[in-house]
Amino acid sequence: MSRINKELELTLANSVKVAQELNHELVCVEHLLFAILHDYKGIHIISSCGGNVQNIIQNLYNFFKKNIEPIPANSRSNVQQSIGFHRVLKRAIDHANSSESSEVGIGDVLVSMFDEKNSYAAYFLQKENISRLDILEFISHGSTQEQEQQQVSSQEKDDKTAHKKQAKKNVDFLQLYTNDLIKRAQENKIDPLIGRKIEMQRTLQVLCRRRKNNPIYVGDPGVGKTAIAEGLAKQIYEQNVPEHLQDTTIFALDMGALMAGTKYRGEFERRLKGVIDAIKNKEKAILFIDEIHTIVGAGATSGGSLDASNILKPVLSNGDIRCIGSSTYEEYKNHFSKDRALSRRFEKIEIPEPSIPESIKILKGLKSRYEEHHQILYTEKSLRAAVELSAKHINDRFLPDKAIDVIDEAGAHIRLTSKGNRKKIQPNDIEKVVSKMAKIPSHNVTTSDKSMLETLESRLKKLVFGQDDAISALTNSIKRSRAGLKTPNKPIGSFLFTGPTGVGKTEMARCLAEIMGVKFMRFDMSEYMEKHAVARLIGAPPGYIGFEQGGLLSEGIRKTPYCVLLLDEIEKAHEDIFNILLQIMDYATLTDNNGKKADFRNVIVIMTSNAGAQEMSTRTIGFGDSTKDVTHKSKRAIEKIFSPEFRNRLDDIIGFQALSVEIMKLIVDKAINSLNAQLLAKRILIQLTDEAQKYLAKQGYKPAYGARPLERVIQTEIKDKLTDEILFGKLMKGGQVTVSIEKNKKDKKKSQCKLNINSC
Amino acid sequence: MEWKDSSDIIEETEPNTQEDILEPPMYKVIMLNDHYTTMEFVVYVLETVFYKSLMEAITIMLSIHNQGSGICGVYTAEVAETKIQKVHQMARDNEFPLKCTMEEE
Repeated sequence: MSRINKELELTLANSVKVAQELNHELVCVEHLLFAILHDYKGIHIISSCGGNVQNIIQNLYNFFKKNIEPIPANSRSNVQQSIGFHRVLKRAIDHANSSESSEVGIGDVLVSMFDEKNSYAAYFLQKENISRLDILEFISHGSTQEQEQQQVSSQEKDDKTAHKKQAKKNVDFLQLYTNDLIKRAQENKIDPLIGRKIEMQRTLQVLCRRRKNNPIYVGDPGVGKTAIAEGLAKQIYEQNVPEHLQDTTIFALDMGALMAGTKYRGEFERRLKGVIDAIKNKEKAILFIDEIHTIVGAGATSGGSLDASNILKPVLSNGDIRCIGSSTYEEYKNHFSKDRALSRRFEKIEIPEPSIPESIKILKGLKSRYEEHHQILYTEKSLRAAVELSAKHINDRFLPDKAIDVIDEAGAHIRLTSKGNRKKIQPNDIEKVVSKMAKIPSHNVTTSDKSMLETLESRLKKLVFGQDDAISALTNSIKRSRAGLKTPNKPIGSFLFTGPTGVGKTEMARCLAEIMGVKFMRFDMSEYMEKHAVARLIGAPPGYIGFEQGGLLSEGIRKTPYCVLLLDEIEKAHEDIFNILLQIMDYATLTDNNGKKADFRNVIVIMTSNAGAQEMSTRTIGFGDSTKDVTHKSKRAIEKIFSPEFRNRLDDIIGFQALSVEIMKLIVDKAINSLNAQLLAKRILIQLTDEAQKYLAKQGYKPAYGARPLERVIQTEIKDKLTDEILFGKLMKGGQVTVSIEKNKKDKKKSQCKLNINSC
Repeated sequence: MEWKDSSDIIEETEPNTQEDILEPPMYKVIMLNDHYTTMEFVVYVLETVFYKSLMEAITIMLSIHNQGSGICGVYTAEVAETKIQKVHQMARDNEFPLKCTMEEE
């Protein structure tokens, strides 16, 4: 005789309690099911068979409310068991008896419940796609063979129900974890795709292959990889694709939803598998996985164990599903291509950054969307400005993304500040936004650099004295390149500044960068005297430390492609460095160890050299114009140091003159002016008498050192004397200082500055 | 309990995918007239088994008397079956031939 086991006993008692609590006259099969669903074993059985416990409970609640009247409160009757309830129990016990098993459990009762043809309990179970066989198999063979069991059951079930079960699961997984891009296209939520003809053609081609029909977009962030996938969806929706792809749906995998709420090991994998199966069973469906590198290693506990990408692999290669991925170069290289078994299943389609004209076209195409959003119009010039300025000044991001950001922000800015009075966005609005985004002064961000070029020469002359010839040579060649007369694949200019030390070669390069509003990048070549120092500029070779970091020069130019590059004291650099300079000057590109190219087309390369300075200072013996002789001598020295192919590629070799006393006076003024600017906060003004100016100019210039000693002279003669006065003396509260000369009559050389201080 | 933790997503069932699993019908319990059962007993049965008020019970009893049968209520198959058995048991105990049947609604 079979015994009712403890669990079942408890469950039966619970079912009676449920009926009592609900004020029901009879304990029905439904009450029993309700009690079972609150038992650990019961839940285990139902959920293992694929049923959703919560759904059944909800259904039962509704049923109790709707279909069973509670007995009136005044009547006093005991809860009785219904005939159906009896039958279910009896059948379960009979069955256990006939199979000679020792006890009756919850599973047996569930099986028996299915024989109650007209009961809601059986109906609710069936509604969850649980059949009698499912439960029989589960209680006979347990959960370890779930997989087999599912196969058996689906084989034994007639095709119709099997199909239906699948259909239901499809809806769930795809709805929960993916976004239907076609639907978004239908709702007009996708921005149009402009250009990208070749990439789209290639995508369609790969998708139409028989096997391994999985394209992967690889490109820098912001170049529009996702936009291409969305554009494909739009084209499919507009039936603008080959026949083979018509009526295809694209599901974008929602990684967040897939991950969110996964608690147990394997839950993520189950969801992913569910999505893949759903796609597989759906005809003409494409799975789009953005940032596909994230699935490599997702869910793996330690290296080498099964991860999410391994779930994808088998279905990818045999063409069961079509999958579009997208990734950036860096992540593709570091994560994706390392899993070679995965990456071979994808066809790589590179998405390059669009050129400036292409980006302008893209902005024109998107313009209407942003105009609609901001209720404002963009002029064509402003779009052009947005692309050009963002290309020039926002360096760590890519077109067209950064340009789109600029017009979007400009739109928002005008809308916020003008309170609806302004209707159009002009280039200068764009300039303001770009200067804010790139954190550079706004006067540097300008679309028309013509006015800057016009005044370049005169402004340079105000900052660098005595080198008028050099300045006009430099500005001429810059203007020439801006006028479009230079060869397109070369830097804006490459110059060699030669001349004695301290005459303003470095200063000139710095001022040039300042006036042109671009970055000033300086490399002191005395740091690059060894052969291996080349690696610092273009990156270490593979296998060496620092291989993945890239070189200082190539990275620097990639970050700020618009700049003045100063290679100071070039003659000190190792010969090998000249060799990399050759191609920079010739083709304006530098390829680093990772194969990334730095573009030098917008760089002004300036090299300075003291070569020839030594020769210049040696006196010529004999007659003749000494200055002419000097230039000749320095030229010879330069020819000696720099090889012909190097000199050949320079736009110009600009010789700097030694400074005359007149020019030194100007430099003295400049130095005093900057000193005054420093002291302005302390309300101190320094003035020089003509004598003092001349004295400083003479003392401050040495043919061998150029104007550098001036700084020292000013320090000893003026600054040191002022120090005590400023701290403790007459100038504590500010004042005026006149510098004159106290002549030493015996020895002219021993005269020195005298300070007349008027405190205020 | 385990299921409570993992029930963060409630699957939505699609009603149109389950056309052939029909909701079970509800059943009318019909009491048949005979010439031996007393009116009082019928009213008593209606009051105790079907929880009718006195007035309702009399109305139903009269309709049985006049038209040959009367509807005592609509229940699920299981409840209807149990109630009919209860009525028959009571009738037999009191030696009346009172009969009930159930009919799909």
